[in-house]
Amino acid sequence: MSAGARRAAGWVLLIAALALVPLSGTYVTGLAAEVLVFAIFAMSLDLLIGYTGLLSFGHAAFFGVSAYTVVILGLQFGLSGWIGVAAGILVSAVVAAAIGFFSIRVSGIPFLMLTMAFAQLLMAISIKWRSVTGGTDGLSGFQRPTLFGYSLDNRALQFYVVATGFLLVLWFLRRLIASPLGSIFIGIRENEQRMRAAGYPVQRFKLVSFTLAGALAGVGGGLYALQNAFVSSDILHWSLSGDAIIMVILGGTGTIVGPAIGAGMFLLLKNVVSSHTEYWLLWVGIIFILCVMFLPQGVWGWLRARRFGGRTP
Amino acid sequence: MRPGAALHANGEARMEFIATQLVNGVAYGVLLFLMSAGLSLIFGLMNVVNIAHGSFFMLGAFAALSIERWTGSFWLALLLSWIPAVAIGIVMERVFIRKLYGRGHLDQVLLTFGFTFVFVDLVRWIFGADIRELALPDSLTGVIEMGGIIVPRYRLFLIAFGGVVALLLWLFLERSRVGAMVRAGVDDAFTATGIGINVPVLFAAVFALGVGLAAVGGTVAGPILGLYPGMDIEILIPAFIVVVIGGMGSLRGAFVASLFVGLVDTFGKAYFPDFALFMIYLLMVVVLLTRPQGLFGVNRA
Amino acid sequence: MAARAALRRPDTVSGDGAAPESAASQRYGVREEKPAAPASLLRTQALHKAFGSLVVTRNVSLSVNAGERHALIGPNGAGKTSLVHQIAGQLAPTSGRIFLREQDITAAVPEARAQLGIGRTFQKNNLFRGLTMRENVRLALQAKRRGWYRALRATAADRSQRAEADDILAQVRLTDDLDRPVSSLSYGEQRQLEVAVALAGKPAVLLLDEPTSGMSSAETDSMISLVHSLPAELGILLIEHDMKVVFSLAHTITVLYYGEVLASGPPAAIRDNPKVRDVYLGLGH
Repeated sequence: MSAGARRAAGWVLLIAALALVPLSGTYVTGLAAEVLVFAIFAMSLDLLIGYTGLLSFGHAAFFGVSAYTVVILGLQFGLSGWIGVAAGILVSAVVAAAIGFFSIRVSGIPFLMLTMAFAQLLMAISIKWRSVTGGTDGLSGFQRPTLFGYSLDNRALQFYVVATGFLLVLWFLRRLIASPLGSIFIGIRENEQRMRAAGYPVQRFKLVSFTLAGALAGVGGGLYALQNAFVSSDILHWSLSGDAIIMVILGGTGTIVGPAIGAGMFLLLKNVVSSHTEYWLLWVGIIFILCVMFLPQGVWGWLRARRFGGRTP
Repeated sequence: MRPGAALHANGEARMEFIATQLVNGVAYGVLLFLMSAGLSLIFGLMNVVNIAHGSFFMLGAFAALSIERWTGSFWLALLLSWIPAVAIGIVMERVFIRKLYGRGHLDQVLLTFGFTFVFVDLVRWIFGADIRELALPDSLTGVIEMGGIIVPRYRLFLIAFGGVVALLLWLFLERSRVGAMVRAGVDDAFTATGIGINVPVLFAAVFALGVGLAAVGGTVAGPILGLYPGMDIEILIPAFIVVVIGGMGSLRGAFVASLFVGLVDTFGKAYFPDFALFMIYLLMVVVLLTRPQGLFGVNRA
Repeated sequence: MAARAALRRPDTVSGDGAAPESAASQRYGVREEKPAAPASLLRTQALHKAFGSLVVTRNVSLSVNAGERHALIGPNGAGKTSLVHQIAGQLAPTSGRIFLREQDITAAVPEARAQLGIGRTFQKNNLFRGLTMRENVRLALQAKRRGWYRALRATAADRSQRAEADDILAQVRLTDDLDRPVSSLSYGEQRQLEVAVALAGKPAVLLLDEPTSGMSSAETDSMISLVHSLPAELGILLIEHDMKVVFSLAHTITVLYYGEVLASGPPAAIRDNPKVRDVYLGLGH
């Protein structure tokens, strides 16, 4: 089978599998939707970590800001969730550009701390500005929009909307990584100094990558809002950023599908383990440590290397 | 005195208030120094970023709790609580971190990040999630009057203790042979090996020293902060802020920045309680944007 | 040496070197003046670099003209690589200036200098280790072309870039299995790839930092003929320890000693210079 045919088959299989999910009941559908939302979040973070080589600890900021935009626009101005999501993506892109502009002046640990600091500052604002954000209690009462007359309160429809978003993000990332812009991000990850010596304005591209990643996280955040019809300041906490990092590493950094698989693994682990013991963090930690030590390319990276002997995203 | 009242009180009360915050700020700075000194040493010598450093702070505190429960003595706890933490640290360095030396910061950050989850749940499992107390001996409780100002004895002890540790650390690094080896290694580990320094043993020793300092920090912090499973992160973030502000790998930077951050945090909480949590984040942002390498930072290749 | 006679020198009158008669002079039979010696392509002026009390570059003024092969030699620690870092922009000088085509680039960042026409190789291989040979060169090529922000168009579809990359690799005598990752290449092949990556940027001035370091005798000969075959209008500043390479390639040699220019001139003059002999006493040749 040629590479092109294999890829097409992959898409068909994926779409078919997703289409069938709602048949397995509301619990599985809800879990699957949650997985897909976080898959988008993790994939967007991998654009930074795996493809541009930037470890950010404040990615939840863009996810959260978008979710807040959807809910606030809905509650305060009565705007439909669809408009909200579009606005949310725009807002998260702008916020990412702003935070990125300052953060990329440093690299390594200072970059990690700076991105975390900005996210924490945003969380502080969301906690204090109760009148707008509902503080730690959050905002509820958001009305989900309708699609072709059907309300998104229907779990199956919710899932299909989220799944569509996931497929769009997946498609976009695939095209991006294979494009000239994508090759520049990869070049920066591989050898930043050489990229400069070759004539690339590296700082500018880091900012582009940061902004794109923020916008994609905004897609996830918007869908999160549609799905949960609720948002609180917890969504901006750095531990959410930490969770995303775990998803990326578990699944496979530097791959497109890896983080999605990592999101599935992480949430599955969390749900399964926490139903048996309240010490599920311990197990996540152990698995994560083993992964870093022995499977640094992640589960998907390892699978890919074994089955395809090399590069397919 | 209520925080807002500070701005309106009369002169003498305000003086007393400022003095109290000063003492508290320096005391907090001592805790930060004990954490950040170890972080900076480990990074400076081994180029390793230890996200689990806060865990050793926590482990030291809980070890002290256990020792005090068994022996009834705070002083014994202070004397011995570093032992389990250092033991765990040495195992961690030899079995895990050593394998990642070639792999760069990202993998070390991730590995040590994973360990934080393990440590925090272990503590939660063994000790439960409630806040515990580390009791003080009579000699350290109560207050002293100094120059008309009332100062808690324990805070004074903490400041004195911190000063002694800083002095010992300085003497060790500047005046002893092992210290010279550490400094040589910080400068250039590759060459250090070339002149016969046993770098692996040195690394293990420095890592042990670093986490030992953190453990001691946890022990002396116990009576003030209380002991609970989340205390590792509560001190880690400010400690990293200190290290980043002071300059990664610089011990002098850690010392100056700890006091600076301790004071900013304490006075910030006193005068701007609404933004208490985030004064030091703001401080770090300002420092990094004006001087990316930190106050005393060295640009590592 | 016979090899040197074949090399073109910028101030010799030769068919290719002189400017063609303009249409005006042809029409009016006016004999045009021989053009003045061209302004230097690359020039440093009193370049000085100190790390505290350690001076690595002391008042260095040298120039490289278009077509000139200029070798930079000197004992270890003389500051040759530091000088190249300052010219290419990785290191900022303490004082002094650098000119490219008489344009002051002293304050320009490395990426700007690369865009203006400076290309360089590194003393220690500085490639994109996880990428293939072809992709290494293609990335360097892409830097000088438009289309960076095409986010949805596949690079693989750009056949002309791929063909051009293959051409450049062929120029450095790398033709086999160009999809191999850099990490699988031999040391010598990586050195060749270094040159290819630098060439891909179509530089006007090429800084080669010890291109033959660590190479076998056969590989060194191969590199010599490679440098010979480089475009004639390229100005090359070549750091080298291997005197065979230097004397078979250079039009001009500058000797650096403790960061200072000890001597500079044509190879014969350098070889006979007693100060240079002193410095190299015990180093062979």
